[in-house]
Amino acid sequence: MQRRDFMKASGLSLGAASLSGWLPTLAARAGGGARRKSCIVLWMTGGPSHLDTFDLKPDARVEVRGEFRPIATSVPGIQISEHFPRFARLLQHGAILRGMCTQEADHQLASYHLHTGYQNRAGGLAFPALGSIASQELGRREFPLPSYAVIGPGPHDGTRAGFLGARHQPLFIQEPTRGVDNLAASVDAQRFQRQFQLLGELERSFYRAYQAPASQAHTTTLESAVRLMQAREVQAFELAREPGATRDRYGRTSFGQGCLLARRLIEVGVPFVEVNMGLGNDGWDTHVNNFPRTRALSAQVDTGMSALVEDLRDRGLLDQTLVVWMGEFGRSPQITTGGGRNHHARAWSTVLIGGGIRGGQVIGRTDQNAATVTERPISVVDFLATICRILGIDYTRSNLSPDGRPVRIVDNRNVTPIRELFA
Amino acid sequence: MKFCNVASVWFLTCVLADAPLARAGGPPSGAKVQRLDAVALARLIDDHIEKRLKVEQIPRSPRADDAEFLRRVYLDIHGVIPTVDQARAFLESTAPDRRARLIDELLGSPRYAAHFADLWHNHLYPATANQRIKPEALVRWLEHGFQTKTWDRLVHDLMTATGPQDQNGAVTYMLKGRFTLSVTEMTDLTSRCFLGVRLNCVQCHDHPCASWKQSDYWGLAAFFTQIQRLKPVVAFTTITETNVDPRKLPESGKLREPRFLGGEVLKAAPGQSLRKALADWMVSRENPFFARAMVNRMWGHFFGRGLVHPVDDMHDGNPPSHPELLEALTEQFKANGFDLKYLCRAICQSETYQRTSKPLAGNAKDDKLFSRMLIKVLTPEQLFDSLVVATGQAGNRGPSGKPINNPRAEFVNSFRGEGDSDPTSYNRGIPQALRLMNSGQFLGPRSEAFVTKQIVPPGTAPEQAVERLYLRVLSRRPSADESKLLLKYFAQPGAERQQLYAEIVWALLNSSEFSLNH
Repeated sequence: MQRRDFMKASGLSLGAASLSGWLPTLAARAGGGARRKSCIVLWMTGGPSHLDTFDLKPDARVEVRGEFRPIATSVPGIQISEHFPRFARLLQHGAILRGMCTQEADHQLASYHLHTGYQNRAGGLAFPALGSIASQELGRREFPLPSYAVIGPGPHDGTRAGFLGARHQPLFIQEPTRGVDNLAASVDAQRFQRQFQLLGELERSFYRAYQAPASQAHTTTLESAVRLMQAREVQAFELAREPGATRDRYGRTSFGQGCLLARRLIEVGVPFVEVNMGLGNDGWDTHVNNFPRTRALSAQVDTGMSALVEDLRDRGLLDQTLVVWMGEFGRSPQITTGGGRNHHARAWSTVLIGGGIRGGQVIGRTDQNAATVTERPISVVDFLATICRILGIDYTRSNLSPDGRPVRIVDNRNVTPIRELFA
Repeated sequence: MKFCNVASVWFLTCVLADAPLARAGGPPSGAKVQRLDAVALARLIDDHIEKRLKVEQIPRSPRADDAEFLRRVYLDIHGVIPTVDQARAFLESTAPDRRARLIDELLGSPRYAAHFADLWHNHLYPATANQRIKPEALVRWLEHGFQTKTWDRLVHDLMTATGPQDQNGAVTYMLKGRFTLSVTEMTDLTSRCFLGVRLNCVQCHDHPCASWKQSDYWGLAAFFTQIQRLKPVVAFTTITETNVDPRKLPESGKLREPRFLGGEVLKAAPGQSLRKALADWMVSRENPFFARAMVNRMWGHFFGRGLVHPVDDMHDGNPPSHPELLEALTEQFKANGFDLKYLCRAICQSETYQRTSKPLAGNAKDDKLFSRMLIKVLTPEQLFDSLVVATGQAGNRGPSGKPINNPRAEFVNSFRGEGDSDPTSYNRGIPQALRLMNSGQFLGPRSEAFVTKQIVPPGTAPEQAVERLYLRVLSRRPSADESKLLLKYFAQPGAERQQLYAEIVWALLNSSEFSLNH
């Protein structure tokens, strides 16, 4: 690649061109012996209907049960929606959590809560997303890509580094087939290095005088951008390097190709990737036309998610890669006059796959209308603590907020990680 | 709201009290308030701020120098950096009242209205552009409004708008794509933007705003039940009103009387416009929310932080940092006929606004009491417009090199963060940094020619050249240290002077200083 040759020839290295040598350097966290785990979250923006995906109620009355039929899976006794036929054959790797029980039924507030483990209090602390925590806990300092990537369009509510700072901010990739734009400098290597060094001088002197956190964040972002320009690993963004047949298996949708990009990023060492789907009028926020929309979206998910799980399995990566299927809440049992379902947070479902968990099980149970949880309720903190435990993150550890107060990774006062997964 | 947000009624358990009325304070209605002019109000601001700093024993940063003030006041009022000529004219002026004159000049220009139209467009039309159509109609309407109307008139006209979108851009406020906003979306947006109250909290059951009741929410929502879209939709959507039973709320199917927030039930006559009744109530002098909300928002706009923060979350549990000042500003805003320029003038003329953002040892930790100016991040619109002024190019080629239709809208869209974020927090990421550094949208391959033609003519002495580059991009002269640094930069072997100029412009454009309003 021309660009990389240019970088190599230039000898442009961060050591020489580092902008923020003045920043306090965080000691790199000592890595564990075993290969670190990774996580791919498939985020269903808008809140998918649990009744029409992973918690069907065929015996409920017609205004509740809806149009879809359950089908058998590779695990005897477990049934899911008929619109996940391919994933049904992979269920031995996955666990369905049917007892999600959360508080927020507003998209933004719920997305924030599920991403960060904390409720969004106006004017309160900006809490980091789990991906940013993973970036801090699992990311390697010398790794030239951001350790948290968010693929696909969306409001991306709650997917911010908050007080962990610009270093752990996710890299947003709006369109997976397009990757990252503007990776090549518009001048030759020598000039780029020269002007970048000058920029470093300007940054240092501005910060010295004004000490603004925004300036620090700007400098860090510039540095991360230049590290990315230099990185060999950016090849991972080039989906065209995959065989056509592989790309077909994931589905030629934004979500399918996003799943493929997620696999490629995990393979080069990005520890946490989120793939978004479902924004907008055809998305998961099915206040009207729930059934045709959920059917179409399920088909995309079945293709992309199943291809991802198969691919990870075939490459021997499934045991160290946790795949999470989730949205911000479920949907109401009662079907509305417009054939839709409204928001529902008191009972809903998520799915965990791989990552070394004990698969092939359903955890938790809802009532006959999937309206309330009757067995093994899972709170937001239970859920996040469980993911942390799977990933090998000590969720009882605290980070310091900017005003110096310790903030637990997961607020663990009332936490019960889901032990059934670790048996 | 990001997208369709229909409240499930059974989640509405958060409760609200009539307390905000009592808490809103101020003199009881009818009491005479002595009207102050902008200069007197500026002094009042300083008195309140300084009194508190004294109590807390926090030193205040000194007055900003002219250049810092110049760039700040341009960005805050016009949303763009000054041109070289504008910068020179101000920096060379020795008139003792040059700051006050500049403030008046800026407020007198149509750019003021354009900037505030941009800002309010973003408040009223949150980042769901993909679901909205023809938002320019609203921007143009707002621009005209800020140019010609007082705040009460502007809001009254917005709230009561009817007609086709092409003839009355204000109806855009009620639209989402070709559809109307839901009643709950209208309720959330209106209360947040114009009353400074967040009501979406009533969807959760443990929000600390323990005071609002479900009935307050639906009472306010009932005012929006007459909004109707005329069918069929041709080129432009038309908003009209129905006279169906106004109390019926489509989302919940509940019947509810329209009730003013924290106030009385409206006994609506048949055929009465509920929106007009609401608008009348909102903009009346007695309304405890309206003026206070705007004063706080304006303060937040200029200082990077509201007296109540966040600016749209005013309730008992979130008290103002300077309650007496907030009440005084509110009363004066009303007494001066909801004149926005009056408010801007008073704020900008205060010493508090004119302080440097450089911290002292004793106030570096203060970000609440206004002992120094807080540093704000340029909005995408400010950044684009300032790039155009600095480089003289509209940048009508996109990141991929292809010409684009509306370069500003495309740029703004790709730099837009989440919703209404804190103006002091930096939300840009790697893609935006890469775009500014590498896209060549503003500083393309012919940058040397551009620098020669527009900034540094051939034969300019190096010291002169440095000054011209700084004035052009950062609207100030370089310090002695900076001159020294750049003169050294010119001394690099094997580089052409014009190339080095272009590199300096690149570095200045990508610097923190350019991206921030300090």
